[in-house]
Amino acid sequence: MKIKSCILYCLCFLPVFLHAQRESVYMQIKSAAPLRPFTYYQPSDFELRNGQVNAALTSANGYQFQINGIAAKNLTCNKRLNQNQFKVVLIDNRMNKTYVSTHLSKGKLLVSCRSRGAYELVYEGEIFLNNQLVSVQANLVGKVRKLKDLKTN
Amino acid sequence: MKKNITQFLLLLFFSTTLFAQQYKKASTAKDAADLEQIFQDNYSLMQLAIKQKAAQLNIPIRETLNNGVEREFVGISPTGLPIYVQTTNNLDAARTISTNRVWPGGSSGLSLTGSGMTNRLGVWDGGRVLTSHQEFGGRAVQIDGSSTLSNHATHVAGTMVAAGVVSNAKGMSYEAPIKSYDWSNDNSEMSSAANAGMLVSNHSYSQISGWNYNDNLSRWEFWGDQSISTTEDYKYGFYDNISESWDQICVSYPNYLPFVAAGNDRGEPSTIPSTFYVRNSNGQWVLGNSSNPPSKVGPYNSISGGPSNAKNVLTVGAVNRITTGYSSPTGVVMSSFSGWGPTDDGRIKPDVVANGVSVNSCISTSNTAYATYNGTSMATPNASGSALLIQQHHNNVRGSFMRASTLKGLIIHTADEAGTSVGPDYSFGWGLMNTNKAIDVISDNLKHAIIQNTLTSQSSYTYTFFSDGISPIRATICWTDRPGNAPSPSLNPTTKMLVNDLDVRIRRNSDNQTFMPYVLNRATPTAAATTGDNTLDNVEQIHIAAPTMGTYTITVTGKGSLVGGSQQYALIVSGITPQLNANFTAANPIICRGFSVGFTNLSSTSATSRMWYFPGGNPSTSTALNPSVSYQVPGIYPVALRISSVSGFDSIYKPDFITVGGLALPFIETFEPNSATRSYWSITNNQNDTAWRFWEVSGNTPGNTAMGINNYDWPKFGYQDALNSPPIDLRGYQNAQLTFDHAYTRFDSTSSDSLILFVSTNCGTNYTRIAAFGENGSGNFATAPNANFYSGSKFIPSKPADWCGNAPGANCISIDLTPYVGNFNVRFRFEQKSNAGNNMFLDNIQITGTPLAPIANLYSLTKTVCVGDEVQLLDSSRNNPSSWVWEVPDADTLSYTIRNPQVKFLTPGLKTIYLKVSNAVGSDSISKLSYINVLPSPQEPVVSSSKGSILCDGDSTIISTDAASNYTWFRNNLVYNVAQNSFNYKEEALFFVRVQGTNGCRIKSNELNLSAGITPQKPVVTKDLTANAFCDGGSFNLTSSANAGNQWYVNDSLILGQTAKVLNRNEAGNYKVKVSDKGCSSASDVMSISKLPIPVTSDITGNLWAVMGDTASYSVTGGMSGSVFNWTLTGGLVQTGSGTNKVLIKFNNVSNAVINVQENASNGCKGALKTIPVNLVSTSVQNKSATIQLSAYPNPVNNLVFLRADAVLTGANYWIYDVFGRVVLKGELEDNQDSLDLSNLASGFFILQLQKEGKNATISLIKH
Repeated sequence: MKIKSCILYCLCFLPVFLHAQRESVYMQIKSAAPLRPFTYYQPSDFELRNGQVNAALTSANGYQFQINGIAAKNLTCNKRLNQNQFKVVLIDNRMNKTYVSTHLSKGKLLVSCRSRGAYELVYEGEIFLNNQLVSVQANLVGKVRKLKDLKTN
Repeated sequence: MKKNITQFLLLLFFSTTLFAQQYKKASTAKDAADLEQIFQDNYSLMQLAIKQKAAQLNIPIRETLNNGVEREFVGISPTGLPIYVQTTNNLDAARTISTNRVWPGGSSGLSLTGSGMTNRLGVWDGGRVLTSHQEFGGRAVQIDGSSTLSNHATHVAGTMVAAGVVSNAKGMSYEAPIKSYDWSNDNSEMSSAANAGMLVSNHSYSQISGWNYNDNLSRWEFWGDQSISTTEDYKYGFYDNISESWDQICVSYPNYLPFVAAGNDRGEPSTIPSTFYVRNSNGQWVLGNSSNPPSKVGPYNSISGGPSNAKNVLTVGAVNRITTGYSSPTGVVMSSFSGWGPTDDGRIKPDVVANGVSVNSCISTSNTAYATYNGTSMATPNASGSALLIQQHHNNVRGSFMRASTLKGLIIHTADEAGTSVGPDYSFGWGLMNTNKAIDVISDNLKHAIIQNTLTSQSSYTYTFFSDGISPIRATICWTDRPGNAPSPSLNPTTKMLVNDLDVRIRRNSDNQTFMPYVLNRATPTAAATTGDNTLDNVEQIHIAAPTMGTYTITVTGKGSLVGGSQQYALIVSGITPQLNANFTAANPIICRGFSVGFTNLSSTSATSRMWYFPGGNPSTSTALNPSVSYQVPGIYPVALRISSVSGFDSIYKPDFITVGGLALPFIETFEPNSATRSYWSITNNQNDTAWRFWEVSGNTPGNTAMGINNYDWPKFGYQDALNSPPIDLRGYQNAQLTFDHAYTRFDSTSSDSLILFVSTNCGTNYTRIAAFGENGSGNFATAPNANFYSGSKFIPSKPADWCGNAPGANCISIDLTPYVGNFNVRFRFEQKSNAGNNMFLDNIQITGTPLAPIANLYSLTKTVCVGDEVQLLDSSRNNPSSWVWEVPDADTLSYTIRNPQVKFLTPGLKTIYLKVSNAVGSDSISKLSYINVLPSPQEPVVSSSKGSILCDGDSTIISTDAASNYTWFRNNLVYNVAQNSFNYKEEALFFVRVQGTNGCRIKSNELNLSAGITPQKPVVTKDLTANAFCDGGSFNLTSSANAGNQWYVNDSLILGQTAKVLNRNEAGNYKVKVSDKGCSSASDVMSISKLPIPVTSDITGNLWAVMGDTASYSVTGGMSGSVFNWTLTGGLVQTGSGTNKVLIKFNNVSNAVINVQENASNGCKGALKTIPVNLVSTSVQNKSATIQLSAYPNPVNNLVFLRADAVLTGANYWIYDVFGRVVLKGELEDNQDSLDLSNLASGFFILQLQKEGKNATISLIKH
């Protein structure tokens, strides 16, 4: 009976569990043709560059979603950040378009701690290309693997 | 940027009313986009103000001074005076690396600007590029939404792609689009951009390393890790995880090449500061120990940390500008700051250098702002912007882009020599980039080769070419290597980062000398490059400055097994002397008699001499480049051309190439692209308006092309346009007829054109009218009905009914040409006279005739020849034969069936030539008696070598001929100026002599083909046997110490086909291997291998049945005395007799056992493995069958055994077996029978089997 219970439990809850693990970007555009779905491709890349944390998630279909400019001190567990504490960029390489956060974005970012030093960034807000608004919900997970103190030459 | 030395801030002042009123302050911008718009608006306003001011003062907006300096009116001062920008040296960066030479108007004759290279070029930098700057013209796009404008980024992007609005700021790819990013998330963005097709990107930044002056805090900081070294920052030359990441990006996207600045830290600081800050273990800045400060950076090992040290990027150092372009190594002057290699593992960095001093480009303070900066940041876009042009050119001429490793290899291959010593060094890398030379290598694929290959493990690639002994040879290989494993941070670790180690070697085939690639020594970085085995770099280059004439072979191999199983690489070779290729063409090979043919030489341009042969032409020979030859006799003639140069010769012979007097019948012109004659038609267009041309039509076959003329769009009256045929030969026919297809319709009832036909018998000098159609305006030859007229649309035939011969229109036209047969040089003219009608089309023009029987004839221009010379025989038969049979005696080929054969006579004497010709009507023949006089050749001389044809180890030989006089030596088919009949020689070559006899005839000697090799080292044979013997039925391997050139022998006989390094055999014999190189060979010692007999063992004797837990004896008879027997078994243990031929075995309580034995003879050979299976049974009285529960008692039994079962046994069949499986008793149990009588059985072990209704039971019994 115990085994049967476990199988039933897994069948019921495994999809939910996997979905929670999977990084994602959901985009909704108003008054324009819908955007192609962001197709997950590979894990996010987190870097600490000149004291700021940048994270990028690249899709399999030409998108790159970035959350940039998070002060390193703000990368703490259960930290909630307002839009003026970070920037959001969505690059559409296929359509050669770039959507960015502005002072109108009203985005929120929740930083959570995951196991083995990884962080989860949960973002919800709006980004713009000129006057075109895109609502975004994104979930990025990763460890800061690259430390870059860069200077121009 | 190293130091900002000058900055032209072209601020826009309020000098005009117009401008002052509308000028917007940048500080009012709400965001970056708004700022760009303000700049754009202000710029437009200022341009308008400048134009007004220039007109008011009558001064130029731009002018070029006599010394080449550009001046430009770019602004207006607060007092209203014009502000000019004057640059000292325009385009110096481009000139330094010869990029300006590939621009439009440059010396290369090319027009490369980067135009159309969308998504191919990118720049990552410390901020946003001012994309609205006047220099970008909308071609720069900031991709990642970065908002912080950067002078540095704008300057760098400008060097790459600025349009040259201010001419001295013109970028390298000055019409290319560019994608701009700030350096956040550069790794992810680079991957994404490369995936979208980016080829080249620029990265003028690196990890902060060593000493840095903090302007904000006005203090010196040392960025080294104190826990690793207090005197040196380990990051210089260190391969870190960023280097590893970038190498992986390059592996993932093999066409993508990042260009990275080498850094500017060499020599920093100029004076060690007394006060400075260092980072403690917590990363906090603390005051440094002034009594033990860190050292100055460099000079060597000063490449900044990060991507600059990656293997697969192109790292760029900075040198001064060279305003007149490269001329010598001394002209390349190192900047005071550019970082130097090596990397910690000794790799060559920087890869190349470019101009990074005094580079003028645009900046971001306004749309018209410029500044001059120094730094490797400036050198890098000088290189990357130029590299895009190299890719563009490759795509233009080869139809595809190069792999990144090919581009990098090509840039290194063509870099100009720099530094104090020849070859690479750790200061200038491989030298000063030269864009024009790189593009030359792509353009000239005869003298250079660019080969993109994949090498698999244990394989090799060879490329052989000829050198003229003049042009230096250079061969470069470059590959995108898999990422190394970045070591833990430490000071100058020598851990090798190269993963797949490819090697390039060049062998001079004449003497087998091997040339090795350049190597540097990290321990003595100032030392000049030497040559040897490069085990560190993923670039290798061999340079042979003074080659000797002959063939060379390049070999590319990989060391060991390649990670990933294979490795893509590029091989670039220069110094190739192209093999000669003879070819020619003629624009008009079909001519009238007395006309000339212009020949065009298409042969290799490296040919130094040529000889044309024109049988039937005048002149009959020529050495001109593009000769013109006239032909007086109608016929069909061959043409030959022979060319030569120092690398050899080539020739080409085109039979039936020239037709004189006209084409024979049947003549069929379809005007389709595959028509051999459609290009020989000419048109006459006296009014230079619409004319006959090819049209795409339908409704007629074959194909969909016809000749037509457009009257619909050109409604003229009386204009005449003619279509003139090539010359036709009407000789030899009884009659002739012209037919053709036409398509035509009138425009309306009054607008109708006409078609008039003419014939000329003097090649078009005079024409005679022979037919006319539609001259009365009736359109009586129209093929489309009058009712439609096609007046509403242009007539283009689209269906069969639109063509003649298909109702309801006119029939096709046929004209009798019989009055003109017997003439050659005949031309036909189709003249269309317009009357504002509609379009007219002609197709399938045919001239046919019934031939006369042929009349055979032949001739030769040369009637006296020597034995062995070729004679051109020419057919001059009349009446158009269609087949030929030649018979020539004593020739190398006795019979020919072609029109004009070339014949070589083998014996002297007067030769009779026979020719039979035929056509559809008949045949004729002719014999010309004693027509060719073949003179005897002198006695054939002999050329010999005193040491045979194989020369080894630089040995020399005496080459001699037995010819006494009038001989000429030839080496490699070229005259060899040696007067003596013998001489010493020691290189690879082909020799022969020609001797001229008193009758003028020459004869060639035998060919002596000398090969020159090096005797290989004596090979050593090893075996996989412990002794020099093997057992019968087995095999063994012999291995040669030589990797190549092996040939195996047994008992002094060659083993056919056995040339591998390892020989597998199963026969005894005396073996050896011989290793050869160009005939020079060395044999190993003989290894004698004998074959030993193997013992033949009997089968195992013993019971197949046994009782569990009991013992039993088993034995074999050995095949040889003195053997040892190895018993192995499952289900039991050997009790006694191990090693002997007889053992006592005790069985376990299992259902079966297997006994094995193998005889080991004293000679070391083993016999066959013998096996016996044994079934084991229990002695228990209870024994359950699978289906019938049966028991028997007593057991052991004396005579009567009783049976008890869980079923009624009446009717059951029973069998009793002995130990050999034989049935000793059987029967059927009767009613109520519950026992069996075993009294007739001997004592022993038995098996009882019962079977009833498909059910079985088995039980073992022991009888006393």
